Order: sequence, then C-alpha cells, then structure tokens
Amino acid sequence: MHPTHLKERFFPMLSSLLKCFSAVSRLLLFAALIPLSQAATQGPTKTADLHKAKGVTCVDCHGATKKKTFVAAERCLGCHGPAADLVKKTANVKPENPHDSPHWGPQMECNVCHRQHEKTVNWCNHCHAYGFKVP
Amino acid sequence: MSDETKDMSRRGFIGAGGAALLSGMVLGALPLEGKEGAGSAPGALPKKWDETYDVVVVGTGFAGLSAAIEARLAGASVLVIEKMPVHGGNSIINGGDFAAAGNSFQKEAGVQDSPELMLKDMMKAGSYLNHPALARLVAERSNEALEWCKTYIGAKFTRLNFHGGHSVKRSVQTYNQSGSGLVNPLLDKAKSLGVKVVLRTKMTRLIAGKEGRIVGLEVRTGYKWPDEASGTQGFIKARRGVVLAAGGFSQNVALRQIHDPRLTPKFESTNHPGATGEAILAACSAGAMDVQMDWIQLGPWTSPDEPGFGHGPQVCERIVGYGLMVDPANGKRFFKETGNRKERADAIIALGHPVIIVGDSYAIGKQVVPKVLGKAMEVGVVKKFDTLEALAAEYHVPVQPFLEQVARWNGFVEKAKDADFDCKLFPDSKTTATAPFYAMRLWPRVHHTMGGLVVNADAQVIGFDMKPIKGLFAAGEITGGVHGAVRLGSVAMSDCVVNGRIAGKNAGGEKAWS
Repeated sequence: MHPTHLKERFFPMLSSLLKCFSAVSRLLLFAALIPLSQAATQGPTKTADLHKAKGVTCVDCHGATKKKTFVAAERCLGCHGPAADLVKKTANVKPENPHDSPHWGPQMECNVCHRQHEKTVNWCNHCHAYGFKVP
Repeated sequence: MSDETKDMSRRGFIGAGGAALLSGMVLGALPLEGKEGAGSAPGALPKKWDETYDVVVVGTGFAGLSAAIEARLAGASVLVIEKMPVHGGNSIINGGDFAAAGNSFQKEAGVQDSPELMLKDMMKAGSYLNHPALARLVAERSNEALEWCKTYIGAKFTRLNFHGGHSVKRSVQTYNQSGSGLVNPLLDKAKSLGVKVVLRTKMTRLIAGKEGRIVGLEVRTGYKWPDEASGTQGFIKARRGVVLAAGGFSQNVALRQIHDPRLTPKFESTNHPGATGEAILAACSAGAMDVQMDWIQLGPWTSPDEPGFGHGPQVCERIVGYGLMVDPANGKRFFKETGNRKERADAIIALGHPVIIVGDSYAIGKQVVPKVLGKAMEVGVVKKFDTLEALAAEYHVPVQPFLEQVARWNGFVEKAKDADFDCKLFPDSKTTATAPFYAMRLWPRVHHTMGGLVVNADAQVIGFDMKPIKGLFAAGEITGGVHGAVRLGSVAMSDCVVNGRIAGKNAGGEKAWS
C-alpha cells in the first residue's frame, strides 16, 4: 500500500483524539509530527504536508471517512476564500491571472492545479508555456 | 453476426493496432468490470441503475450544452456528464468565431452573403465529401443558431472576422475572443433550467436493451483523468435518449495513426488533452457506424514557439489578406495566405520547416485585438521590429530576396490582385510598409477530426444496419460528414450549436422505454 493511504487511515483516528486538545496543543503536536510525515512521503513536500504543518487534519478537508474523497472548492474556500480575494491576490501574475483565466474565470476547482497528495499541476500549460509556481 | 461477435472483432482490430491509449478505455475497463462483478459483461443490462434521467448528455462543449438545454425545454430531466476536471472541452479553448450566413454584423458592414454561398464554401473546402444534407442544414440554420446564442443564451459577440477558405467575412467573434464567451453562458442557462452537470464522470460503455435500443450508460464516477482505473463503476438509465457530444480524437495518437499513419507523435495538437475519442469507440462497440475517420485536419496558424493552440492563431488568422507568408529559406511567398487550413498546412509541411507571417503596424493595428497582441508578444510568439531588415535577420531570411518579395506583394495589394497565388485581398488591405513590423513563426498542429459517427439530419446515430439506433443521438466533432475533407474555420461553432440543439430536442422528445 502507498504510504499516503496509510496516513489517510491513520490520521482520522488521531484527529478525533486531537479534537479534545486545545488549539495550542494541536499545533505543538503537529509540529512534532512533521519530520515523520515528510519521511513517510519520501519525496518533495506535498501541499497536504504543508497543510498538516499548519495543523490542518485529514478530517478537516475530507470529513470523517476512510475513503479517498474529492474535496470541493467550497471546502478550500472556507479557509482560503472568498474566491474574489484569491483573484485579487494573483491579479498581477503574468501573462495571465490563473485564478481568473479567460476560459474558466474564477470557476475552476482548486485541486485541478493544487493537488494535495501528488505533484501540483499547471493546467494552463496544456496549451501555454506559463512559468507559474503552483503551491 | 451476433452483437457479441461484432463487438469482439472490433476490439481485436483496435488491439492489433497496438493502441496503448485505446486499451485504457476499450480493453482496460474489462478486467475491472469482471472484478467488481456488477452484471456488466459486454451487452448486459446492469442489475440495478444508480441514477435515472430522461436524457443523458456526454460532453460539456457547445454541442453538449446546446443539446442539454433543448432536451430540458422539451420537458426532459437532463444529466450532463464530463470526464475532465474542467468543463468545456475544446469549445472553451477555441477562438470564439461563429460562422453565420447573413448575420447582422455582415449587414452592418455591407457584406453580401447567403446560406447558399456558405454551403458552396463548405462543400468546396470539403472536396465535396460532405454529406450534402448535413452541410446544408448547418449553413441554412447557422444564423438562427447565432441569434439563439445572442438572444436566448445571452452570449455577446462583437467582431466580424474572415477565416481562410470562406469567400466573405462571415465569422462573428465572442466579446472575449474565446469559446468560453459562449460555453459559460450556455452552462449558466442549462443550470438555471435545472440541468444537472457533473464533472469527472466518464462514460465507459453504452448499454443497449431490446433490439439494440440504447437504454443507458456505464460510467466511472470520480474518474481522475487520465487514470483509467480511477473512480467507481456506476450505471445511469436514460429513459428517452443519450446524446453523444464528446468531441474528436486529435490527442489520441494511436487512434489517429490507425486512420492516418502519417500523423505520428511528432505532430502536436491544439486540442485539450482529453480529446481522445473514447466515446466514438464506445458508440461503435454499441453498433454505431463511423465515417471519414482518416480526414484529420492540421491548423496552419499555430506557432512552434508556444504549446497547444496558444495565442498565435488569433494573430496569424486575422492578418491573412493583410500581410504576407514567407518561406524563411529563400524569403519568398509560397502559398495563398487566405487558402483553407488543409491547403496551407500541407504547403508548410511540404517545405519541411516553420515559415513566417509578416504584418505591418497598419495590418496589426486594424486587425488584431490589442489584448491578444499583448499576450502573443508577452509569451514571445509574435515579435516586433523597427525595420524589415531586422525582421529578416531575426528569422535568418536572406534580406534582398525578402525585400523584393515584400515589394512584389505590395504591388499586388495596390492592384487588388495577387498574380502569384490569388490571395484574397480585402477592400481595406494596404501595402506592408508602415513600421513597426510584426512577425511570427508557423508550424501546423493536429486540430480537428472531420470524421466520426454517421448521423442523419435528425442527429440520430446510424448503425451498421443502415438504420438509426433508437435512443442514440450525436452532435459536434464526434460526428462525421458535415465537413467532408476539410472543416472551414469557425464552422465548428455553427455545427455544434445547430446539431446540438437538434439532438437535444429529438432526444427530449423520444418516447421513454421504461
């Protein structure tokens, strides 16, 4: 089994325990877990690891499930939104604002590019050669 | 021949072609089905349907969304599925040009046009291989379809453009120079009417009931392109009909090489990455007939200096008839700039290396949308030069022959007659003389698959018994016959909206089988 799956099975249980702790102790505990999670992926840091480092648990995005579930943009925007702010944040990115593309506007699902458990994707580059750095 | 035998022989043929990409869908799906054991052997009805709709549409481009809207207006409950994580297919990345004979922009500009003239242009470009009734349908209803897009859908069109191979300016362009200017309003309208649209859902099989009537689909929900093993198997019942509007197969190198072995991986494509044609194959597996699959078009206006469709085409195609196309090896023109796509692509490929198109500041300023020019220059596709000599130096063109060629071209422009290649010159075409000068390199890419499913004028898919397959409709690039050998630029939008609406209306009006 891929290490990612192990983590996904492991963390929901862990996170239910964590609900009992204060926000401060959650952060401390996760800080302690970072080296372990990075070792588990054995590669460059995935965006999900950055989330974990900030104390975001599996259930925060996926809910209480052991299955791989799709995370809709609404969930992402709960913390990162509203979408209009993201559009503004990247307004000066050249040659095109990726959050307000001429094709999809601000309507694209976040994880079309911002993959959490694999390398991130620059979807625009199917047809263009834009040097975006996709976190 | 039993259905099963017919099915197997087709699979065997594709397998023998070594089509790795195809196997993902046609062959690769089989072991999964066996493993999951949900009663999904080829041809079998599922034990239970997961969802039921009157009409199921496959694809979220111009054709699919037009069909969904008309099916809904005919009183059907409608589901639209899309395999990709984004909607719109090729439609949302196209240039937004819609050919409509006798449109209001033409009337304003004093351009004489008629459906008869559009049909004539389509047939000529199509080498008269077009199925005449289908081509006529598109020409005759093109302006009605454009008006529907403007008034009912609310799409905004702002410019009248020329496309190579047309005898007049008849292509009306969306306000944002992109097909998104029509796809997104279509999607909004469909949703407002109660059409359900789901992404990441891939059709893997059409399900036929009694006497081959199409009764539903096998799908993979939560499909993660391009992982064919991703997602969960599901069955969707279509009580009245299925509309296939899933596009062509320009990105499927194995499939296109079965039909045209010359189109090796060295030819890139302008298409979105999911344009791989599995829906055509699924329909054929269910008994549909295909036609003219080996007529695959390359676009002559793409640049080797950017991937995909990119920004270049909207500069190149705007300045044909206003500037000249030159072979950098000798500085000379080599073909009619306003010729159709196939003629021009063939001429460039015959030279064996990229060519350049040149326009002066008058041509660029008059013809190219400033924002489009800005993007094309920003990514380095279009370059600007103070002198023709500097332009020649950049592209390693022998200077003297090039300057002589520009002078020769300018002479033709002054006489409004190109004695060398009969390039169409417009009333407002001017000599290439005003600095700064602009140029871009051109190398063709695979753009449109003319062939596809055989349909009649009611958008019904025809089977190998030469009769319509009950419950199965198709529209857009997935079909064959409308364009014959060559599709003229900007007729895709007309084709998709005209036939998408017909397909949706007829699927919605079909008698329910259960």
